[in-house]
Amino acid sequence: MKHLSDIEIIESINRGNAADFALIVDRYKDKAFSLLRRMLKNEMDAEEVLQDSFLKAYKSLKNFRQDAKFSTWFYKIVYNSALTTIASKKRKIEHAMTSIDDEFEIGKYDDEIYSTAENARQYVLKLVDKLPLKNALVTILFYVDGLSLNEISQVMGTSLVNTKVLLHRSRNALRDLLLKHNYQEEML
Amino acid sequence: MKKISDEFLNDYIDNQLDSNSIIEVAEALKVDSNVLNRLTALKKVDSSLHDIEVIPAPEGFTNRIIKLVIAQSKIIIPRVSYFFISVVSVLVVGVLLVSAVAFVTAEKSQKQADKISFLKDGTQYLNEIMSSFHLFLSNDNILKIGLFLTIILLISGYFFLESHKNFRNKLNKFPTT
Repeated sequence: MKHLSDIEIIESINRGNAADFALIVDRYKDKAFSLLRRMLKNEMDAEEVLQDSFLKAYKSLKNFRQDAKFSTWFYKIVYNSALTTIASKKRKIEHAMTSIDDEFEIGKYDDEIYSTAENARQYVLKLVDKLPLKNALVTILFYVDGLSLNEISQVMGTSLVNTKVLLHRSRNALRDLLLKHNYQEEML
Repeated sequence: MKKISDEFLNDYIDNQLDSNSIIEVAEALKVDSNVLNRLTALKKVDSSLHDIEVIPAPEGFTNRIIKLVIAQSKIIIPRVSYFFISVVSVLVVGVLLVSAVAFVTAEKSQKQADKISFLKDGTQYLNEIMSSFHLFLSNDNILKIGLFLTIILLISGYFFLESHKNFRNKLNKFPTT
């Protein structure tokens, strides 16, 4: 089957082929769900927000400006829907969303993760979930969803410089822990 | 030698440095083991992060969304078929045109009949009406309009069947569970 672009699918949906929205859902559901699971720390909330995000996207498709990338536009809906849920549930996570100067507390999980990780790769991946929320989001959007730093800054409503700082700090923190545990031998 | 910062190394692995900066990093790597260690570890982090697990959405998620979307579409968007509206309009105009031509032709025939004789019996009158009707049917314009309407009917019938076939295919493709 021909691989349709997002824009081609959206044009088809706007012509009245509502069932074609399944192609968009299939394309984005897993990556968006991964992001939401990490943001909300709860599977049911993540599923609810994901459903809500897709329905909002469907209702607003006619307003989607096709000079923008659909993925950026859609992730912005997902991100804002998740923030609304977090705010409504008055979770403490809200505090963590306010600044890029969050303290890196991954060190306190280090012993536990280090003792269970089988190699450097597994160790790094387990630490990602312990990053401050904004850092984790930038990292996931960059590596899992393949968004550029510029697109991530649009999704999160932060400046490009701050987005870059968030990604670099995450990498540096993970790298420092790798060096602390002398993973060099495995790496070289 | 210029100190190689963490930001510099991050830009290096993201291919964001210009050629001069890349040369600076390469030279630092030759002489400074600390830079080498930092860069190697950073590359390991970068390659590991490419393997972040994608958590699959719950099973049946797409079907649930599509059912909701279809339900919304039925409520919100009543689809208008502009094709059928156009066909019906052309047919109505055609029928009105035929009626007008028939009326004019019949009137002319009647006047001609009146000139020939005023004293016609019922049978003759009926014959004249029949001949008017025959005249009406043998009119070239009427034949052309009739032909035109027949073609429109055949074309619209073809598009109607195609549209029905497409709709049936779409229904068959649509997931039922």
